[in-house]
Amino acid sequence: MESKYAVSCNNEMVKVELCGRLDATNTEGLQIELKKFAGQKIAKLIFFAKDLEYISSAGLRVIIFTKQKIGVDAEIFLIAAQPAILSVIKMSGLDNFMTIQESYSE
Amino acid sequence: MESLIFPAKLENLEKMFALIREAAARQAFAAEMIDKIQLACEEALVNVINYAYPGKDGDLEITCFNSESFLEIGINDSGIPFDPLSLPDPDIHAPMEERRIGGLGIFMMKKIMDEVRYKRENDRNMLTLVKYNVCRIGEANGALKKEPLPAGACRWPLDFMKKEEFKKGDVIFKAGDTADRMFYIAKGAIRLVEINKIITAGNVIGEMGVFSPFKERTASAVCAEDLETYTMGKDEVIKFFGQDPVLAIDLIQLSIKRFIENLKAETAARERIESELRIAQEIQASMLPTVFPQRKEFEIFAMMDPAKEIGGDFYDFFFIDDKRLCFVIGDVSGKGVPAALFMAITKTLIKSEAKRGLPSDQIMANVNNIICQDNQTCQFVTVFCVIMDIASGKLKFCNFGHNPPLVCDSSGCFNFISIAGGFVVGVMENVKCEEKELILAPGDMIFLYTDGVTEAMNPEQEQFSEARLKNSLTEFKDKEIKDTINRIRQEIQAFARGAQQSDDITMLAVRYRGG
Repeated sequence: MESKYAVSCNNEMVKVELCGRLDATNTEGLQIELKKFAGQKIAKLIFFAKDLEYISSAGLRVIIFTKQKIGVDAEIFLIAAQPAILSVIKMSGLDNFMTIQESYSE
Repeated sequence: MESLIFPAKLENLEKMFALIREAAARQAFAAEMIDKIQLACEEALVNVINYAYPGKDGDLEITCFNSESFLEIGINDSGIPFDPLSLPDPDIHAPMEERRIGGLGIFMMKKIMDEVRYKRENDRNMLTLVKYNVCRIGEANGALKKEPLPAGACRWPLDFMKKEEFKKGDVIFKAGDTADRMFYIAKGAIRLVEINKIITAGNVIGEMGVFSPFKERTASAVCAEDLETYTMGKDEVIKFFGQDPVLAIDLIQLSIKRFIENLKAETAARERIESELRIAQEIQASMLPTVFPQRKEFEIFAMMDPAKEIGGDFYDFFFIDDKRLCFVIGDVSGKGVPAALFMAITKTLIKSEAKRGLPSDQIMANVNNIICQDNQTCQFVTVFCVIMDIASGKLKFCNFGHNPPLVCDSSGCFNFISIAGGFVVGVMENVKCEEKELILAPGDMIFLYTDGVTEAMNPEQEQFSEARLKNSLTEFKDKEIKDTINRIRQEIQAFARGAQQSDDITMLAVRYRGG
C-alpha cells in the first residue's frame, strides 16, 4: 500500500498533506523532502491528515524529526486526523505538543 | 500455525505486513486493532531488517498462531543478539525537541500488545508478541458449568480459566493498562510494584480492576518468581457471580480488604509528604529576615503568612552600603516545592546583584537574564525592588510585573504608585524596565504587598480588594508600622470568615522618619 504526500512551503509555513499509509516502507522519501527546509525560518508546520489511514512509529519519527531539525520554534498542527491516527498520536504523548484541529484556515 | 521466511530486506516489509494482517483478520480483530498490531510488528521487523545483520544478508521468520483466545506472532532471526525489552521506555511526556528518536516504537509495541517476550535460543533472537481476543474467550466459555461449585477445596473454577505461565521478571500488567481479567496464582509469586506487595500462590490478583468502574489497573504486576496462573476475563467473572454466590462474596470481600489496605498505605504516604511539606515551609519562612533594624531614619516591618500549600512569596531588606537600604517583595508563579525553590534562588540572586551597588533596574535586568538561562520549568516571578537613600528619603525603584505599592503622603492619603506593570522575571531575556523615583518626606510611608492580600476571599468568593486595603491602611496608618501591618492581617482574617487561605499573604512597609 502506497502513501502519497505533498509538501509545500510559503510564508514560513510548511504544509504537509499525508494520504494513505505512512509506515517504515515509505517514510524515507518524506523525510528527505522535509530535510530541504532545514536552516530556513519556519513558523508553522501543518500536517493535513484527513486522508491518512495509518501511521506507524516510523511516521511519528518523521514528525519528531521535523520538529527537531527544521522547526524548533515552529508550532505544529495536525489537521482533520481520523480517530485511529489520533489514538496512535496520543499513545506516544505527542498530542501534548501539537495543536490538533478539525480544520485549518489561514 | 503459519510460518514464512523472508530475506530481511525493507522491500519485503509489505509482504510481511500482509501475512500479519491476514492472521489478525482471522482472529476477528477490528480494523483499528489490525492496524495497531501491524504497528507493533513493524517496529520489531524494521529493527531486524536494519540492525540484525550488519554488512551482510540474513533471513527473518514470522510465525502466526491463531488460538481460540489470542493471536501469537513470533519474529525470529539469527542476527546479532538484541533484546528490545532491555531498552528503557521513552519519556512520552517530554516535548518533541527533547525526544530521543529511538525507543518510541518499542514502547508502542509494548503498549499495544498484551504480552511481549524475548529470548535468545540456539543463536536466534526470538520475539513473541501476543494479543488477546477478549470477546473470543467469552464465546469459548459459552458452555459454562451450571451446577454450583463444590464449597471448600479449590473454589476457583480452574477448568474454565486459561492457564498461563510467566517467567520471573515478566510484566503481567502495568498501572493504567485496561483491566480485562483477573489472575489466580497457582504457583510462584507476583510483586505489585507501586505498593510493593508480594502476592503468593493460592491468591487472586486483578480482581479490583475487574470490579472498578474505571476499568484500569491501579498497580503494575511483575513476576517475583516463575509463575503459573489461571486467568478469567471480566465477563466470565460476572457469569460466575450468578452461579456461585459464595465465590462472589469471597471476591467482593477480598476486593474491599485490598481497597482498605491500599487506602491505609496511601494515607500513610500522604502524611509523610505533608510532613515534608511542613518542613519545606519552615525552611522557606526561615529564609526571610525577621529581625528589623532599629534606626532613627526609618521604621521597617514585614511579614509573610504562608497558605496551607507551600507558596512562593518572599520579601527581603538589607543595606547595600551605609547610605542605601534595598527592600524587595516578590511572588513566584505556582505553588509547592518548585515555587519555594524558585523563590529561594530569586531572593539570593537579587541580594547578590544588589550588593554590587547597581541601580534597581539593572539589578533586576541581571537577575532576569540569569534566571532565563536555566529556566527549564518556565516558572516566573514578579518583583518590586526599591532602593532608599536614607539621608534624603529618595526612593528609586522598578517593577517587574508586580502589584504597585501604596504610598502615603503627609496629607494622610494612600495612593498606588503610578508605574507601568513591567514584565515578569524569568520568561524573556533582555527585558528592560525603567527605574522611577519618588521622595518620601519625613512621616511618609510606602506599603508593598502581594496579591494574596487583595485577593483573599471570603466564603461568598468576594475579594478583600484594593479598596478595602486602602481603607484599612488609612485607618491604621498612625500606629507603629508593625501594628499597622498586624491590624491589616487581622482585617483580612476577619473578612475571610474562616474561608481557606489560598495564597501567601505578604506585606512590607517602610516609614521614613527623616535623615
